[in-house]
Amino acid sequence: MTATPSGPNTLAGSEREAAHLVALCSLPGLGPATLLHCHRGCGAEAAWAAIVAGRPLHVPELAALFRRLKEDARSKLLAAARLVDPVEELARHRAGPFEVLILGYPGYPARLADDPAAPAVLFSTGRLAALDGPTVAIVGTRNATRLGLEFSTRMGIELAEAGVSIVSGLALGIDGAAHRGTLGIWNRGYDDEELDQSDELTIEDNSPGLPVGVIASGLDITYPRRHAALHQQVAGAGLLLSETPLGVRPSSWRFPARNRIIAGLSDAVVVVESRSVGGSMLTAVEALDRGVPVLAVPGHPAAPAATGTNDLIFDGAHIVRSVDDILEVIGLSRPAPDRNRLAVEKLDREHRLVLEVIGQLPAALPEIMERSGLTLERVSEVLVHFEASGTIVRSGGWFQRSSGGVR
Amino acid sequence: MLASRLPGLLPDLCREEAMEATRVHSAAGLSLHGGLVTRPPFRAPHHTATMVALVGGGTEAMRPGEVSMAHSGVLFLDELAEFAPAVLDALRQPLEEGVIRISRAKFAARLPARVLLVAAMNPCPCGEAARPGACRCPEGLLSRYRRRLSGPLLDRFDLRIDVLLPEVDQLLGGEPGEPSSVVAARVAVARDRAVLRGVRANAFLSGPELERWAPLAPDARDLLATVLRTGRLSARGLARIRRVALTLADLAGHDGPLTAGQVGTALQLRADVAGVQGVAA
Repeated sequence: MTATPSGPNTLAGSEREAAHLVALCSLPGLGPATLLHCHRGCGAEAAWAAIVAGRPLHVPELAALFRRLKEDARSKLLAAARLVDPVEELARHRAGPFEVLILGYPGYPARLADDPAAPAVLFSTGRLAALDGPTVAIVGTRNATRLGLEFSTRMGIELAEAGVSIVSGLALGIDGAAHRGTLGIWNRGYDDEELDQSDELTIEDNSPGLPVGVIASGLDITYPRRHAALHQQVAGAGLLLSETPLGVRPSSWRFPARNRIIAGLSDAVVVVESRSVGGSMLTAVEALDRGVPVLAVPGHPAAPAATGTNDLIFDGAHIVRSVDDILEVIGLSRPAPDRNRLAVEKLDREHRLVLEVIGQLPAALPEIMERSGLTLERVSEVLVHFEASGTIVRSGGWFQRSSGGVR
Repeated sequence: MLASRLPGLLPDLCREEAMEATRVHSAAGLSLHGGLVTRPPFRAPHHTATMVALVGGGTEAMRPGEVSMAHSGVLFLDELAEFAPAVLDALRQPLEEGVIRISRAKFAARLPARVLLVAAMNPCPCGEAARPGACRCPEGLLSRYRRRLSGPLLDRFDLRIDVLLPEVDQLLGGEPGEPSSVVAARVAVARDRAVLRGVRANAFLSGPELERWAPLAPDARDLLATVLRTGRLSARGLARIRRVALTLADLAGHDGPLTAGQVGTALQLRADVAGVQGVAA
């Protein structure tokens, strides 16, 4: 630690508050609620001064916390404060791609400004503009079924195509699948040959939505590890937010706390699959507390992964039958008519026939041959064309229409 | 069942093949039933097989492995994903060259190992992926399962087919399908056409020979160009597609350049295996 002449006192007011908030939130045992209390009440600097002086009970905003804490937790917190220099701590959190956003100051997401449990300080990396347009949260179980994952990816694609940013928690399962869909659009890029040729209704003035990840760990920690690449891509293409200081691994209480930020940032929360108890159900509750509409994807009553979402629908959540239901809730409609339908008119008889017999449900090769009356050779040729153009996707021997020409 | 019927569809071994097969079987101590091995052998080692059991070796006496005992015939690996990955990758070289060289401190040997490799596996550990959306495997388990098969090994399979669940009526009788003898006659005709090209089967045609014997009709060329542009077909894959398409033409008794239908069918028969390629990936 260097004793520089630029101590906290030489900083501007907002910078002083920022530095002390960042310092406070790095202390073990001092949670988002106390932090917000201090920020809205006495100010972070006064709270910090009281802690460093070892007299936290003199500040009413801290007193409630310290009375609750056990003796060893209390001394641990006070000891940790002696090792932290607020100015250095702020500089560390602004290094490289990272930014510090303070509640009530410019840059802080407007959506959270009036939130009853707003994070006093948010760490971010990426494009804050991702939160300017409409946003929808897609959340769900980590232990998702393949159908749930596919549906989640498809919504990530279709919502983004409609210009909606996707907020999610970067968890395994539904969360990750949704963001992969959104990222897929960006990876396709605008100069993609296929888009130029076959899609006259390109999304020019109406750019696709971005992925917004809200995570429970520090922004430099990837959790779960298997999502390291996704973490990077979301930060690169969209926005990554956390209220946890850099370098901190997520403790279990941080996940439900993170869920309230997801709910607060979104125009609507969609639960794709969830058991009746789980993090995504908590996100739904947080959304209800904030008056954010909750939508749920129905499932078979016997499927464990659908018990939670079916309960939500029973309790009055909007049902999601397709992405249109979500768009309607947030007051949007699809930007362009279905691209596949447009293309159908240009196809020859055999192509049209195959597309018709496949319909909207997956069909197997023998089924397609039987219903179209075409030979294996004819069907194969047509399917190869459709697969190459992305109109039809194949998975496990089943052919299915793709939603937006996704490969 | 499908794989065990396969040797019945193949023609008798020619004299040279029969000699090779008999030598290997004799060295392995298999019963020869008095005389030459004239029918294509069928070997189906269990998935717990060790590398030595599969490719050959041993410490005291040299013993041919399953891949050599199946020479000129069919090597069937059931539950492919349950085999140890190192054992499977040891098959790559013999599959490419048709021989296997084994070197030990006491001896070195060169054994024939030209087989028709057939393998079967579940699309996922729970086995439910054959119905869309029914698979309940956790993501981690799936990715571990997929990692067991290396890309280079999968690339060497010319035909990759997703087997769907049979319909109820099919299980309870249904139409019996063609008897093996009828199919075997078609196979024999197709093999004869390959022999006229100077090879035992179309699989042994080299690149230049393919240009000569398997020219492409304009629409077939267009179709392949479309698929190549999507990046899902490699140069090696292209040659394999042409060999399969040529065989389809042979089976149908078709002469002349390969049609788009034949090439398209060959492409469909070489599908991305669902469990391995993944859906979201």
